Amino acid sequence: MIPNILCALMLVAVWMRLAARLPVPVRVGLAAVLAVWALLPFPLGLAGWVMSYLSHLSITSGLLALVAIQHRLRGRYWLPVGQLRAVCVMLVALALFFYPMSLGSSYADPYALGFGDVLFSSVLLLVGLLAWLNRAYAPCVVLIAAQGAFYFNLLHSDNLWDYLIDPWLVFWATGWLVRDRLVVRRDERAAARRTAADDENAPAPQPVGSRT
Amino acid sequence: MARRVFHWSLGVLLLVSFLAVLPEHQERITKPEFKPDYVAGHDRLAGQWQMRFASDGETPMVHAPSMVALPDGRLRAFWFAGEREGAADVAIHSAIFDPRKAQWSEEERVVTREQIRRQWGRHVRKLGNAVPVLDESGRMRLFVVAVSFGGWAASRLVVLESDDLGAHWRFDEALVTSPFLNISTLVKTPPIHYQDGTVGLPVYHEMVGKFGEIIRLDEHNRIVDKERIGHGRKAIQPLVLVDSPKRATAFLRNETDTHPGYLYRSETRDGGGGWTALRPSQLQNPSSAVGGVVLSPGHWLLVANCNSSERDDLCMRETHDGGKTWSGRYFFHNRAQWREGRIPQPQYMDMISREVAGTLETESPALLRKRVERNKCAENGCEFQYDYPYVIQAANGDLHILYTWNKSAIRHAWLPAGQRLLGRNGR
Repeated sequence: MIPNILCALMLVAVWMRLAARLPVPVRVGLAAVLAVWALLPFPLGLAGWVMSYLSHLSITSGLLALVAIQHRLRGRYWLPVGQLRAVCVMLVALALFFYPMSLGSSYADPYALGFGDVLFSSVLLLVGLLAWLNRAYAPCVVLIAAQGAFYFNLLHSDNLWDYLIDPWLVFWATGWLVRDRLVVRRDERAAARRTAADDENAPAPQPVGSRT
Repeated sequence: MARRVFHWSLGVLLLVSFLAVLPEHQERITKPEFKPDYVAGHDRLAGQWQMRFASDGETPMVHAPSMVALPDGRLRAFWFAGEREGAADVAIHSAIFDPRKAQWSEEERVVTREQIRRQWGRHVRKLGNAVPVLDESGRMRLFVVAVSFGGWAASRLVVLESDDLGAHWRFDEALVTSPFLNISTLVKTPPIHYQDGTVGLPVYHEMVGKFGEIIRLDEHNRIVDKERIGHGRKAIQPLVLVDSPKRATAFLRNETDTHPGYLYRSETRDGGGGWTALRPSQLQNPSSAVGGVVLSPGHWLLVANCNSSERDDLCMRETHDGGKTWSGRYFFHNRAQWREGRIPQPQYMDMISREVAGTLETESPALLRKRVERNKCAENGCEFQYDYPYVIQAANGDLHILYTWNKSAIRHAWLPAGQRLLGRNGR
């Protein structure tokens, strides 16, 4: 059931993004219909079909979908943008070696660590503690939720990686970083233009020591 | 105050979640040990192979047989069958061989695409290879290749369980074996066993990389470890021959252009914790599946196509020194003489008729000939295909080989224990 709920959350998040221009009541009403449709039993429900092709989503994807839905409803992120950016950079960097190696580019198989490895768990704890010490709570929540879900086998996967990341999350993170970069550049240009305009409108500076 | 409570709660939860996911049996992964299952005392087998058909010709196409010995000495075989490979009507078929009566039961359809689709709650486009495992408790598990979209490279593995030795099956779960959409994991070769009761399922990947792996599963079908045999785009369908708790050798179907025409091999000396780099063996093979068994440490039988280009022969080779030297080839089929070009249909059907006639207790020879004609003949002639051998040794030492015969039937070669191994041609 949990994989279906995660899938429903993702579908709703995508819908809320696509329908951003619709009035909020319409958007929310249709999102509720979509969620119910997604959760119907296979073959009526959408989630079963989506997961037939895309496989299940990670706990992290589900949490991010929740954040995205909240963002579309409230207009601002729960998550500090700095933390989101850091998490996305980490995800993309990780994916650059994780997926090729896991799909056979080397003898070393990082995915195999997810079936139970003390060192892997220790590294995750270290990452979590570093985030916790820096009061970056988002990674802590993700780690706790993913490991808790793994303990209870909520995604029917025996691999901890499947609870932490999935390819769709990496695609989303890549897209978010590109968009973030464009937004930052646009803001910088706008700020530069404003500064230039302010400079033009400002009175010419008086020479030091001049008298009027 | 609330912030401080939140902060410290998260810290505690981080530690708790870390402790919760620590592996229960780390020594399983760090110190694995195989459980060899060869039958001692049957090293000098002798006799004549008996050939039978396990399938009845019920469907136009059959492929990829596998089998398991039942506690009472009978065999249960599985294969996939339908209109054609990948067709919507392909299902897992099964039959039982009783050595006391020397007879195969009627073929029956035991697992369907619709059944898996309904019980799994996912779309299933086609079914493929199936490999059975019989647990000591008497429960049987069947690992089946299921595809939701695309070709075999998009395969997933599903597990079914049976409490009546394979007559009826219920879906248990889909194994998650790959981080990328959980696709591209297939089975073909017999499972191996470990001292701690876990089962090693040799699997292979076909999508980006082509390589083998062993997935270790506990009694709840929980994956406890995974070890890679090879990497890159080299070899698939690992056959694992276990000599001792720490030593095993894998033979793999070659998928490269750099060393074409030979089986690859790899060894482990630490119970499968690590495997040596793939290297070409001395055994010619046209990139097709290999079957085999261990008769005693270093004494192996391998069954495969024994040339580097076609699947028109099927032979057995024997080694007594762990693969350093091999015996001469014993052919179940050898059509090398017709390898160049396709064979005119009348001549081909005559040869097929003789093969059918040389098979014991064939129920409907005319139907089988019709199936072969459909599967292997075209306007410009016909071709032979003998492939996908699956070999086991029963508890009493009997040797059994199942293979796909011209994509039209599952053929069974049986050598009862105590008879001469490389005897006269059993066709």
